[in-house]
Amino acid sequence: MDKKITISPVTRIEGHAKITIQLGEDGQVKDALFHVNEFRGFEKFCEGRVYTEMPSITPRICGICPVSHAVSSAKACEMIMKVQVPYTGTLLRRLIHLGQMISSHALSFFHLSSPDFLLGWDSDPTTRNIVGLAEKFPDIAKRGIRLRKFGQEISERLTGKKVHIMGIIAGGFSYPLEEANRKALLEWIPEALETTKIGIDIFKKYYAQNKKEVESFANFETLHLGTVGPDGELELYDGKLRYVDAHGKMLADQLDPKNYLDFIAERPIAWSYLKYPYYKPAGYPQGFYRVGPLARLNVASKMKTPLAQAEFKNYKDLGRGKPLNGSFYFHYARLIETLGCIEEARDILNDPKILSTEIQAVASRNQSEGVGCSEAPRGTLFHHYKTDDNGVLTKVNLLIATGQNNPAMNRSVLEVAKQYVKGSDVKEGALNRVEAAIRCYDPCLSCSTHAIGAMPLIVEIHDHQGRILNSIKRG
Amino acid sequence: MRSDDGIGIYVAQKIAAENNPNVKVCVSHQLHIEMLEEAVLYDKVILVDAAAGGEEVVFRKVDAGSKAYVASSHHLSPELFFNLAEKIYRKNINLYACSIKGESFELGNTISPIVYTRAEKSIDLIHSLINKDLVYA
Repeated sequence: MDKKITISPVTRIEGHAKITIQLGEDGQVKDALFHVNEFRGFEKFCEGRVYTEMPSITPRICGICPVSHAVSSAKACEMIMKVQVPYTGTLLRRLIHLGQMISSHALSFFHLSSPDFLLGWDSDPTTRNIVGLAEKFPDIAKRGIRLRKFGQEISERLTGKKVHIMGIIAGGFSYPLEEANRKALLEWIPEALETTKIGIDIFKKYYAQNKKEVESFANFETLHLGTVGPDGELELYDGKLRYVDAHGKMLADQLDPKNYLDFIAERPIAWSYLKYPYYKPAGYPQGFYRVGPLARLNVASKMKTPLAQAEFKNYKDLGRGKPLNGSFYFHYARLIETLGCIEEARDILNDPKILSTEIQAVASRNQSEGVGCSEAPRGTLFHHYKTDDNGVLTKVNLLIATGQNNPAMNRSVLEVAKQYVKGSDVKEGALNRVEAAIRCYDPCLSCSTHAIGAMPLIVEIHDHQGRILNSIKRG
Repeated sequence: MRSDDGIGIYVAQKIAAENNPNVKVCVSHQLHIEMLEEAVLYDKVILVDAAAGGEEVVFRKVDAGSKAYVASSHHLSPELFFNLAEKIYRKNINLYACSIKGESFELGNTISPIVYTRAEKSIDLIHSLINKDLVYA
């Protein structure tokens, strides 16, 4: 008799969801599905607004990646306005975007994922979290908090706000940077680098002790998408898109994000409000791809800064130059990116023009449509707006990173469930590994579905007739 | 943007306008983990926020509690905040939570008149605490 297991809520992810595991008659995992039960309504809500409001409205979608929403939104507006942002305006945007990346990645690794690394998969689930981490590793918890604080402080010192920042506007940036704030941010750099290196050491130590598990954990082939600069360097703020396949073959390079509909399609699925995006030329489902830190490092030819480049080389060596397809490597990739973000922030703060007050360009509507794109912490983020003659939005499409990772998250759950779940009596360690497969992607369901309020996550085990055999609820 | 959801910020602004040199007012959309570092430096910390239900105004002292914690960057409970301060910074924060019941959380930038009244009551309670007139069990 087939059986089905459901895990709900999935803990330590941004937002909540449900996992269903279906068992076959032999008690082995037959299928696994990751459900997002909330409706996405932000795009509809924005229709009827004036397009220039969007860089202020869309950061409210998410408290974790508001800057990426603001950047993609402002870029879409600037395409409508046909305006070019001044050099220093771009620098300040880059800086605040890096701050958000540091803050988000610090939270993901040190507070959401490191309990698994440091406390163990099979430890007591009631303390295998930030509280347990604080109890046993207070210094690491404190360092994680301060690294996140550094990222938030970049926002605060540039705009006066840590969350839902308002400084990014169509045409540039609202506030020039003051010298006192520049100096104060530079003082953070050594500590931030040291903390990130500690994080990398934690990952490497875990890897050395659990190499087989790390390599096999949710390891499957997909395409990878990320933004790169003209020389293939990893780029987070602005650039062109590159696709590689699971073996590193370049499928497309220097794709203009504004043409994203030419190469990305979405297909609705029955069990979730998150759709299944795919790379059009490869078709469905062969065109499933991943975005985010793992994909970005897999597509990139190099990093922009020395410390990150040195670690990037180690990363590439693990796959002998080929992409790493194991989902666990997301954590390593995230930390390498953090290293690069801190170095780049330092370089921007030392740019001679960073204190310039020439930070905004003014223009009005010059065409009806605009697309903006940036790399959010969780992956490539597109904003696409259509307006009427008065600049009122008639159509809004937001293609969010977590949505693009949806097929891979489902596949990850299936792979891990096959490896660790045997029958309907799910052991805690197996349950956490299934959840951890999702956590690798650091998904932001609040962001990708634009849910209001908390979503609890449930894991259910069903038999082949759809009857619930076991249900585990959390949160 | 969510009507009465902004009542906490209203109260914070009213307290800030008093310019009490012994009081620092911080406004944030949500409780954040990195606020711990500063919170442990103060004698008392009062969190003021809108509530979707419950009594009109609830003023309570926060301790570690006994609930299972779910860590997320979108939500940090006062109890978890207290607990983390104790474990990471080895300090028991004198932490209070003031919840003001809202009536409307629909899209909008105005606050319901009755909620303003509740805000005034909460401000009185905050004044009392600042002045050490109240003792909470």
